[in-house]
Amino acid sequence: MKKWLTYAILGMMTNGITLFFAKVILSSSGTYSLVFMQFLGGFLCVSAYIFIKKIWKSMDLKEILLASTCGAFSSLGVTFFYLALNDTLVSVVAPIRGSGFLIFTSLLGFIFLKEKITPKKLIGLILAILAIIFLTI
Amino acid sequence: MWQLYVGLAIIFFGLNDFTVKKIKKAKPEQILFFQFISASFLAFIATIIFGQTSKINFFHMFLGIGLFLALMFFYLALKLGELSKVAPIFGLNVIITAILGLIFLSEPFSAKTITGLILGTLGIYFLGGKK
Repeated sequence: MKKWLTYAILGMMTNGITLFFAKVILSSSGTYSLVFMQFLGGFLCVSAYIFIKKIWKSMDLKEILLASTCGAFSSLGVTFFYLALNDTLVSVVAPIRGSGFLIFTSLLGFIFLKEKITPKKLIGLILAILAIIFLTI
Repeated sequence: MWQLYVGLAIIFFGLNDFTVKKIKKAKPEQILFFQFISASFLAFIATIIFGQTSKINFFHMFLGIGLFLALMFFYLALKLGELSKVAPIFGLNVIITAILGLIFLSEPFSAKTITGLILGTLGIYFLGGKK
């Protein structure tokens, strides 16, 4: 198996399982405290990784600010996702998030990055919208 | 209410992805480092505001390992493969979560849920593709 495919599958599995455990833990935990602990855990892991591998190079202030902005967006994204998980079934929320996320990023790409709407992407958009309709009605 | 929450989650995840694309020079580990700092800080403020400091459980940090590993594997895959191939495979993680929920949490599933899952999987595949 190609190396990139192994990494992509490992990433897919790890994220899928992590979200499942998040749903299990949410039933007996606070949403905000869980998000805080999760990101703190992630921060400790990445710090240890950087320290062990000794990989660090200077970074532009602009890129630091952009990465920090990403942190704010992901924190809000995870919080709202967990609030939704608290309210309903994970088998409904997870696929909606997956499809909705791709619809939204595709729209951002079409509008701001002038990416082309190919027939394949149009089919994908229609299928993703139909999936959301089926899962929410 | 959950529909509003999931809508907002989608918007913020989308904005996150869009902003990450603007970072050209930094290494993935460095992006994650600053991303996790600001995310932890914001989540800590929310924990205080919503009075959940007593609910802090240090064992929940293990979920952070999963988050870190998932994102590192994603970045490693991106380094070696094309985004158009890696993204749809990684995007299928939500289907794994949904299937685990159906099996282990005994969530009720109807024909509608299964149809939605299949359509969502196909949608993710088509949207992530190159052409």
